[in-house]
Amino acid sequence: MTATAAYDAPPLLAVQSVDVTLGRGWRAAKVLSGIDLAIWPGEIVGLVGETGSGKTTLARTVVGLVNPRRGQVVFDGLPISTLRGGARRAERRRGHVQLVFQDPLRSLDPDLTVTEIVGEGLRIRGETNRDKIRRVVVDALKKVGLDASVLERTPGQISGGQRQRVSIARALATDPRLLICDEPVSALDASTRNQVLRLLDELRSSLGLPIVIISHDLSSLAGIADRIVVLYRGRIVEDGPIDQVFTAPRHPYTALLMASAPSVRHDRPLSAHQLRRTDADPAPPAGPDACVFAARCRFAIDACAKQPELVTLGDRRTVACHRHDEWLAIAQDRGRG
Amino acid sequence: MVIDNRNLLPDITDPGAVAGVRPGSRQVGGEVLSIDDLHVSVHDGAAMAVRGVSLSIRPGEIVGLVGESGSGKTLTCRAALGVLPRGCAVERGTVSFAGHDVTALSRRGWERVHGSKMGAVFQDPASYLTPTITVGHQLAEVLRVKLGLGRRAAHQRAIELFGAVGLRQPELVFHQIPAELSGGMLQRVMIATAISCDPQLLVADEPTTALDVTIQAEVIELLLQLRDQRGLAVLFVSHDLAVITELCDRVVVFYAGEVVETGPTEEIIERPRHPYTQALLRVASVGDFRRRELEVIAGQPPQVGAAIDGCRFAARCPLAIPACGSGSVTQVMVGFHHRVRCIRARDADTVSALAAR
Amino acid sequence: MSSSNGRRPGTRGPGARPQSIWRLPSVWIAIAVLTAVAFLAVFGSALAPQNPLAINANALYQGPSAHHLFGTDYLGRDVLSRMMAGTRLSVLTALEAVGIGLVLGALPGIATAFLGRWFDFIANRVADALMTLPYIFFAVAVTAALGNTLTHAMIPVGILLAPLFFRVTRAATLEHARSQYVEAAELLGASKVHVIRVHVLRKVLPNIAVTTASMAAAALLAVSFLTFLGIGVQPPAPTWGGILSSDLDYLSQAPWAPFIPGAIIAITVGALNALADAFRDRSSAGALVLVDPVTQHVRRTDPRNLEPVDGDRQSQSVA
Repeated sequence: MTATAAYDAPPLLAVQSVDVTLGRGWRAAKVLSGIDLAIWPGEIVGLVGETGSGKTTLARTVVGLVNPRRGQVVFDGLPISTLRGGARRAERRRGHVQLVFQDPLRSLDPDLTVTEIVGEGLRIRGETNRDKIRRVVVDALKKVGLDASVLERTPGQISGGQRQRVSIARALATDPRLLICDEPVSALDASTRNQVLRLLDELRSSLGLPIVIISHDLSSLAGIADRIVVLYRGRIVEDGPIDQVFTAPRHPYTALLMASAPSVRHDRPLSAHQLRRTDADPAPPAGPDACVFAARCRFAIDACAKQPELVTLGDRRTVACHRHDEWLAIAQDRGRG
Repeated sequence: MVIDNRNLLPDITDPGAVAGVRPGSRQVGGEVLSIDDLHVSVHDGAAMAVRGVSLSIRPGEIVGLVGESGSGKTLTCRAALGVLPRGCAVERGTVSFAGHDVTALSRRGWERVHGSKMGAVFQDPASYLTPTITVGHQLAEVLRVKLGLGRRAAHQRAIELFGAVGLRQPELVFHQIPAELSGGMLQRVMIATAISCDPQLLVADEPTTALDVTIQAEVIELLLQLRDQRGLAVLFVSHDLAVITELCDRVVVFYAGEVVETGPTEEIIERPRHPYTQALLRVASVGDFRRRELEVIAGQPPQVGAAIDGCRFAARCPLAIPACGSGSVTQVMVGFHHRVRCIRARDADTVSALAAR
Repeated sequence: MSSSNGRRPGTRGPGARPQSIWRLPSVWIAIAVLTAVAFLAVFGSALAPQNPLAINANALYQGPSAHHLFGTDYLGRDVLSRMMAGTRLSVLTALEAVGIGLVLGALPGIATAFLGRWFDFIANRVADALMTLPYIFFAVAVTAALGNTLTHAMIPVGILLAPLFFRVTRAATLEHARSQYVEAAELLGASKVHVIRVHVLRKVLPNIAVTTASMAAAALLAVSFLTFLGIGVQPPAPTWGGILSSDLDYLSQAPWAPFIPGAIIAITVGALNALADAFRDRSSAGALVLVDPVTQHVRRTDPRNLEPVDGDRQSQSVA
């Protein structure tokens, strides 16, 4: 069941020209550069990036665990990245943007019961009525497919899949308007993964809740994302509706991700071979201003010594590549050779 | 698919001169690994986690073991390596390596097999490497100990091996410590170590699960290359059927401690005959990320070692009939080297029902 | 997908569940000793068989006998009665020092994880400075200024115990303050007080308990030493260290005598340390990483849970 996102309205979340640097002094490293990302109500966005892409940092920046060095994060018209102290806590208590952490073993307090964990948001808001808290908790658990039997258990006493659901339930208990899930399925086997993804899809359908799913590979989005954003070494390299990106990727890295994904069907339009650099290819331009992907890119030319900007290609489609309309033909030629 | 090793081009990393093993001396047609009716108990005999598993690997063949956690595939792999964890024991059955029974091999005996005849890579390479010694020196030490090479020869050979597994600038990688290398590079180092003494069999237990997908694809290609160049047989364990499909010649499907289906990969993918294999295929990654209906496998596998009358998958099986609930289920042949453990595998109804899905 | 019926995984081999501290004989002995000491601290004076202050010139330096179980001292006073009566002063003042140390040390120790880098820096430097001071001289100075009572003497001891409390609680708190569940609470808008109260405090209390037991032992030794030197002692009030001191003065007449207060001090200090060790062993095993040998799952199982259940593949299995 596809719910269509409300793309005519202004975006719910806007990340504007965000740079993030982590670490201090000589250890400082720029983790995100020039990130422009907008999320609309009702859509499921897959944010894909390998190790070192900055995807988790982006999630943490959106929710304010990390402050951007440049740029800002705007939620529903309000710049939330500049809030501090009491104002930031007040905004968080409203519970609009929620983050589901990657590892429920670490993000759920092992000493608290499921009731206490899922109801914590309400307690922080000042709710003292135990019955009300319990009602909200049971309701949130029901939304994620858990029944009241887990209420008095601690995280160590439930299964991994259940922990993941409790983590999601905690995020839902505050009635969020945007959900960010950091690698929700990477530690799960295929069937459980699909169960969790189906759950997220249902949440979007029933609540109209936009969801950002962060993942290191495309298989983890397996069929529920409407839109895909590809991150590489701190930059967005491609962004667009999943159908279009899948049938015609405009960035060689996106194509490499798709070609590398293991599949039980052998019907790849492009193989990874056609996309990978070999030692026979000319040396790519290097340097701090070069395209972040140039070192791995088969199609790098002199122009790639300068980082390409994100250009808009049409209906909500953007890509950052100087050769976005040329490389595919070259790759297909190689395949024939 | 049998590789005739005698015709392989000479390999620059040929250890033949030192180890006295000539590629042509391997038995063509003789099995590298043969597991017969293996039963493994866990928790000091409290439960039987592996029940009557049989499989074989021929030289140059890549065989994949696939199944959920607790299905017995990892324990089988451990038994083949002789490294069962404490509390686990082989209760029945045999494991033979290159014709020799290794089921009850002593530690000494295994020392002669590990490394030189059988190599292994596991999921988290960093935990198998000393963090303070350069990876080159760690490999060189293995070469000195196992192959008796001198210091300089071992150094040289280590660099050659790093190159053979696809590490760029291997002479520089030699001098790096594990913390300076990425997960993919570390896994290549482990593979280099595992093949350094030119073993006949490489055992790989979820080696790519923790790697980025692009690196995973490269490692899979590397394993295929090593098989083609060296006639290396591979036992590959994974929970991900898609990865198995990309790499393996034959697939062994595990469920609840048993082998429920085994056969050539093409056969298994095109004509799966066991309902569980069918279910695995339905949930597996298909390389298409557009919006689609997602399948799940309903229910949960039984507890490890649970005593169940009849078919162990019956409780979750959409095709179960009353007869599935009692009596042991033996494997039947349904095609060339294609066996299934299901009493309905040959039913005309079943075949068409499965085909219709 | 739980592991098996019956036995819990990981009960043999590496990563086995630790023994409960209640099974160790040393813990029971320590508790018995400390209970006796505590009892004497409260009722010692009343229960003493004889008047601890009663001088008997006819019975000087007598060895243990039926009438005087521990013998008599240089003034003919019953040693047993003096030891029992002295328990209160020694123990209570030791506790006073521990209390001061706890309040001055543990509270900033917890707070420092949440009050920013400057506070942490200054607090650490203060702790460093205090740790260089020798308590004897400090005690002499304070008693000279305020009056020679044991209570006054224990104030500097307490102040100098504070840095140790600070260090331990700070380390424990930092570990928890950086955890993801604290981050999750912060994302819900939690104030620092909420985070400490709900998430951090109960995890840090075991560390505080261990430190308290160790510091109590140190404080008791300090009391004994100070009173041995005569600081804070108002004769004829009996104190363990004071008794030891006078025993040493008359060693030639009663060579057995110092063993009694010496042994009592040593046993009490030993009991406190044994208890501290047991707590420490238990709390450090709290976050166990168990590897289930069957399914190769890595589980961080809280040994307090009865049924660790893990249904899914973790991406970090250990061969």
